[in-house]
Amino acid sequence: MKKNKNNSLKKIAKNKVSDFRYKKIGRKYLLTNLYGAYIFLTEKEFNIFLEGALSEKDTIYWELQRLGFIKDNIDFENIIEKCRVKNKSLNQGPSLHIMVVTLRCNHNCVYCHASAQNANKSEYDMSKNTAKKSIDLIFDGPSKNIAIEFQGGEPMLNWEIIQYTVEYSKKKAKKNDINLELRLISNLSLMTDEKLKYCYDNEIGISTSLDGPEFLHNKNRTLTRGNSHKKTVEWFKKATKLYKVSRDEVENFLPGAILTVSKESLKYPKEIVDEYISHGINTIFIRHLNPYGFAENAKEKIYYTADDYIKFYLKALDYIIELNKKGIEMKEMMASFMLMKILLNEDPNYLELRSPCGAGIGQIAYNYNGDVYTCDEGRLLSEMGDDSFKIGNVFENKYEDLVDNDVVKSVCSASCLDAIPHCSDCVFNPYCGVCPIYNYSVQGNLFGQMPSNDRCKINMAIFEHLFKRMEDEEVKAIFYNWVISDYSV
Amino acid sequence: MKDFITIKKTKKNIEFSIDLNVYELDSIKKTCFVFTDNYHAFIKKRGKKTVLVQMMLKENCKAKEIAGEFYDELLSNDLRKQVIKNNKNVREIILSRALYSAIDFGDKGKKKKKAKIDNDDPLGIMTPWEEKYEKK
Repeated sequence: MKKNKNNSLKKIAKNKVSDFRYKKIGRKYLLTNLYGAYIFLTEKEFNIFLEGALSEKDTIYWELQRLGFIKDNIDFENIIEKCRVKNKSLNQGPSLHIMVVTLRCNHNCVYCHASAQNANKSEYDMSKNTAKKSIDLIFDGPSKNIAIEFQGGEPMLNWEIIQYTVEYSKKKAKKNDINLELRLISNLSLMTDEKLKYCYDNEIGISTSLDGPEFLHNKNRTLTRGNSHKKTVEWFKKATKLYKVSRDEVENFLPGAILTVSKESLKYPKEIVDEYISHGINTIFIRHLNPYGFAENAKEKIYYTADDYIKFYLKALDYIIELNKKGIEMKEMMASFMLMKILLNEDPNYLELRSPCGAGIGQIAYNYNGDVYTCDEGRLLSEMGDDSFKIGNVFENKYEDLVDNDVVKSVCSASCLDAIPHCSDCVFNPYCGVCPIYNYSVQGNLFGQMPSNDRCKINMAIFEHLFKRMEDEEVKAIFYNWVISDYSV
Repeated sequence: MKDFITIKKTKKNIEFSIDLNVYELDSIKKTCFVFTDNYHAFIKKRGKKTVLVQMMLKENCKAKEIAGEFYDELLSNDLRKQVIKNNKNVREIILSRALYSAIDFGDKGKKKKKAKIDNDDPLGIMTPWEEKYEKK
């Protein structure tokens, strides 16, 4: 074994060295701190830093001092401000509200988590009364920024309730001076010109699923009648064209697409990215499949190991970076969320990368029947018969009951990274997050066991790769461009 | 190195005998935890100054050369422990001030907070001095 030179731990200069975490990546040491700053040091610099022997004549001394790694003349006010910005979401209350307006769906996707019901079973639709009660609860919260996401099943199968909710929530937002954002998560197969115009006129953001080239998309996402890929692409293009038309005082959010990765998708990282580009889509959100919500026999066919996913993801990411180098605009959203935290110290409002996570304190999910859950993952689990993350019902509980629920407190404590072994000392701690519901479903424990946790493995691999790639100034500039061009996600 | 860590390997197990004068027990435990993906870790105390760590390969896991990684992790955990200890007070001050100042006292939040204070604090003792006297 190679002898480690920095074994003189007794020599750490107490009065010089500030709080930090580290990891050796390649030949260098990556250091991060509480406030999200980072720096790479060579082994020699790292050892001198630990001994507090860096001279003011060294450029690296001033860089370490500016970033808060050295205690000399430390700018406390600046550091406190950075910590405040990092944690500002904690006191704002839930801002993301998922409304499952129906469990019905016209697709039969191989990885469906939603336990979708047959498109004809209208008993799985949210009623007007349930929608009204849900909106009343949402507006009882303290947040001044509210986003309502319509999900399903396929939410457009209950279009009437979407319209009602849009109108009622807009009235409430106007009355209470709330910034309201509305989003429709749909496969777009039921879209019409009239409905698209309604979405545009009412500033409803659109997000859909595009799993890659036609053969792959249709293999993953089977439409009961028709060609899912054709419909999705057709309406996505129409929506993009319409949403590009600017409006006074309205920020245009262009439609977005999400990729869910199945076992079959792993073979086609480049083809999938090319498919997005061929339709003029310049963002792709690559997501790991949640390993719950489908039958065990289906799991065999569509699920994969964390290592397989990491290989796929990094191939796709590197390909996207190469395209950027050639002048083709394209960015990956998971990387962008992480980079927003690393490069800008900003919270991208992606609740799975928060500590504590957003369940119950950043996000709440309202099921078609009025049952309320900490988040959409909690609601998905309930469809499998496990109601552990139910926090109330719109007809029985007030807002205070929901957020004061013991389940919310438990999930919150279980997702504070500083209290989780492994995470508390991890160099990526300032930027990462855990999902207690994932831990509970996969490892049988809210707190999870990180060394054998696939999600931890995946996040760490992506973080490490991003930091490695940032050593190349050209790539770092591309990354900056990604996060600056889409500051608010 | 051999003076404060000794190792004994078999095909599926690896044993470390670690000097507690050099590494703290907490750091040893954290290091063992890192390898629980593939190994069961057993820690036994041997006298006052030595700890025996036995890492046993879990079923269906492939044996890896972990001795080097174990040393690195142990060192990293010990270093981290010292850094935390040296910076505990500063860290707490920074975090508590940051978290307090992160509270959003916007209009809507203010109403909620006030309503709660009125219920819990009928004499207005918890109302900040500035707020009380600005009104008058």
